Amino acid sequence: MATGLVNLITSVQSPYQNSGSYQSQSQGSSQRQSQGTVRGGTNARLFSPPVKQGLFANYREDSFYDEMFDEKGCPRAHYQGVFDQLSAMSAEDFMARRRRADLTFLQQGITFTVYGDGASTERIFPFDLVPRIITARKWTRIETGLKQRIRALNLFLHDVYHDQKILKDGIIPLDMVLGCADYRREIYGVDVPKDVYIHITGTDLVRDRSGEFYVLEDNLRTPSGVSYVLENRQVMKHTFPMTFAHYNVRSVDTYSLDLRESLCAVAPEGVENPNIVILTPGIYNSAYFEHAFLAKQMGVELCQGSDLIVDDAKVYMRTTQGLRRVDVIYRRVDDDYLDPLTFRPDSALGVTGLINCWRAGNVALANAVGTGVADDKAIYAYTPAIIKYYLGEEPILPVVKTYLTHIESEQKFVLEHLEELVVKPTNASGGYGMLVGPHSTAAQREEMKQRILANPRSFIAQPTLALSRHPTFVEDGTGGHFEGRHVDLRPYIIHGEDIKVLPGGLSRVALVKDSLVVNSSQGGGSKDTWVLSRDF
Amino acid sequence: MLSRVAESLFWMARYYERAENTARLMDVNINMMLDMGEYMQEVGSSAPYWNPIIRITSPFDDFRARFPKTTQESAIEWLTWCEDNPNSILVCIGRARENARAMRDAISSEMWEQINTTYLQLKDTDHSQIWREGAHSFFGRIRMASQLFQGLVETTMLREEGWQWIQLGKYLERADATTRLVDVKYHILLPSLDEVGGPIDNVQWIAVLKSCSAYEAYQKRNVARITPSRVAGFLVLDHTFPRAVRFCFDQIRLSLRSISVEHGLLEERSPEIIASHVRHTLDQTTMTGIIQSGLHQNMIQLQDYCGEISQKITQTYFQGALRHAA
Repeated sequence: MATGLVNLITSVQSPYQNSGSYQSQSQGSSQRQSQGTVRGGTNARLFSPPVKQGLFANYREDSFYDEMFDEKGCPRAHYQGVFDQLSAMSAEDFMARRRRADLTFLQQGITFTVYGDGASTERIFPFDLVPRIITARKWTRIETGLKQRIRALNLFLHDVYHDQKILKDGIIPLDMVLGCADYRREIYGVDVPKDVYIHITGTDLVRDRSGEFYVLEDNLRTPSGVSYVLENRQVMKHTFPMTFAHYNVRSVDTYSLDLRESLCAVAPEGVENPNIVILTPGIYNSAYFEHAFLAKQMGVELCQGSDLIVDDAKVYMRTTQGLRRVDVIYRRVDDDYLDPLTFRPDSALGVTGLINCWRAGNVALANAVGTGVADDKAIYAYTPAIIKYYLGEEPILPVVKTYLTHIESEQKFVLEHLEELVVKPTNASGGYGMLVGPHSTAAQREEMKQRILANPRSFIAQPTLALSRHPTFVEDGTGGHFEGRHVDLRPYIIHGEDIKVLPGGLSRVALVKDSLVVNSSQGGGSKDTWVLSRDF
Repeated sequence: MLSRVAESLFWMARYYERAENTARLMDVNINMMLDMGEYMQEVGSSAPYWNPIIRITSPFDDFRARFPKTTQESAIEWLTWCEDNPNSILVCIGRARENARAMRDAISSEMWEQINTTYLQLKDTDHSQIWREGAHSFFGRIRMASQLFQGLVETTMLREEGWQWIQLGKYLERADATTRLVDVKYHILLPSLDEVGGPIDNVQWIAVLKSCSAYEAYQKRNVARITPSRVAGFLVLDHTFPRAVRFCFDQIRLSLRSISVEHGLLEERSPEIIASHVRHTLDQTTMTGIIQSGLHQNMIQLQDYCGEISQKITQTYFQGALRHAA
């Protein structure tokens, strides 16, 4: 065991001996380090293409952009350390670590609920131990791009619920916005504190064959997953401590502090020390773990609809001491269920009269009501125009070419090319109701065609992207090995006084071979995502 | 504190304590039967030993509906695993976990993990494990799990209102359990009145003491030999032994007082008034008095008081919170 550990340490340390502030403890160990340099490190790489061995022995990049290996099949500089360590590892060792990690998730109850067939089960979100690494340079670009995007979308929301200039100027067709199922007439003209609508965003990014990051969709309603980012990191630190020590990985620990600060910042005016609560649909919600996790991390109460009550246009929570005023609600309940007086009258999850309190400015809601209009998949096609319109800037992060099926010419193209395209419902999440053309049957395409014709505004189509792939552990008859699996990236953005992007995010991985669907509800897993503070 | 959270804390503690009490009873019962081999051969069944325990911990008719015959196997299946028994160990720990899950933000991560792990392990346990492992070790592990949980409550929770709700649930449940234990021994367990004070009787009273981890404590407080009235007196009236009814009521009163004080209330509210009354009565009574006026009746009355306090707590703190806070 002891020798094994030393080997791991040396092979990891070798390429980066001069890069960090790491200091070896003793003469003896530094000698071992220099041996490591000769054996598996950068020097060897300069002269001959590396031999992939161990669990990487049969690894193939195919024609995809591989996050770990470059086009020559060499590990990218920022992956060298992880590559060296994993190459030296046996399947048994890797699996033992994986079992430990899984057990931690299960025991801590880091689970989500899967629905189907009328029953629901608690499951852990499959976790792949090979970390996804993003260089500082790449991240800076992502970060600036996301900030730009959130700023513009926020201005867009304010505009469509007030003066509607963008519609009057003809940048977006009027009926695209006002006819959108998620446009909430009920809040037209409502002013929100500091004009912030989207306090918390989880934007999905993907890389294509060239390695360029694209925005795939914005989740501006109640995006989930950030708790996995934080928990994955904890588990990773325990499972691969020695690798960690060698990378300058930016911490994700301040997320809950930042979140609380920004929720404080948007409290109704004049409230000094706001009482913040999280509103959850309850323990049967698939993201309940996350709601409880964030409440605890922020030190705020986790409420269900039945815990809150409205009196005189103010919101109170029922406590053992009587009613206590609530100022800010980070709600994880969808618009439709938020207030039976305004939206669905049959909702048992909401708070009767809540929207009235919000309109009166007596309580803040994060995110605001009605943000769904800005992450509608058809509006998405206009986001580059939205950025230019409000900010006068070129979009930093490109979007994926999107065909709107309610426009005749585009519909024609889509129907003729269904086999090559991905068709998505405009108003759904979780990967439900999608058609992935290249993986579809003729019958499925025909069914989709009929659905599009019946409801053209409800669908959009995009080219099937060759999503980047990442080495991921796959079990086989003799234990396991690494294979490329498609990944995406969901960074989290907080908008309060200013805009902050959590350095990291949720890398979701499609565990099923060749699958492009990464959603947890559809067989996806996740990876810890390391953003480096300094590049190699 | 949210009323719903207070209620969950209270019931989480009650259910966990209930699971521990049932585990104790079973452990001691099985152990005691080993000492009673001769008598059991005479009777030809272990039913007289299991029926009383089933009776005090669950609705007996439900047990009969499920198992036509009382055997050691059916009793243990019913008390440990059975989903139909609202008080089986697995169901209790499951409910404690459900309560914990509904307010994960209000308890420490350590507490949640402990309760979650205990539940998951128990749920996945093969039922025959009890025999392979040995009943003593198996039920011992459940007892230890509960005590580890209490330790985590002690060391990881803020001494705020939430902690008091846990104490309240724990001691109310425990007071109730001890009265049931004393009651069942005095009226049901004994084969016949002739045996009172005989060797069988002594073995049984020792078992009762052991099921509350009270044997050693009793020996310290009583030099004289074991007599039913001394044992019952110790378990009901001692003010230093943590499972004695009077000690429990002291704690119940203290927690209710702290909650009132935290709410800025000087006057006693209804649950506290009852608890004070019970405490006062226990102060002024002796075991001889209790036995003379009927041990069974007195134990039933104490159980009624526990029920009433629980009901008043629900009305006062969990459901009635519609006033505006001061």
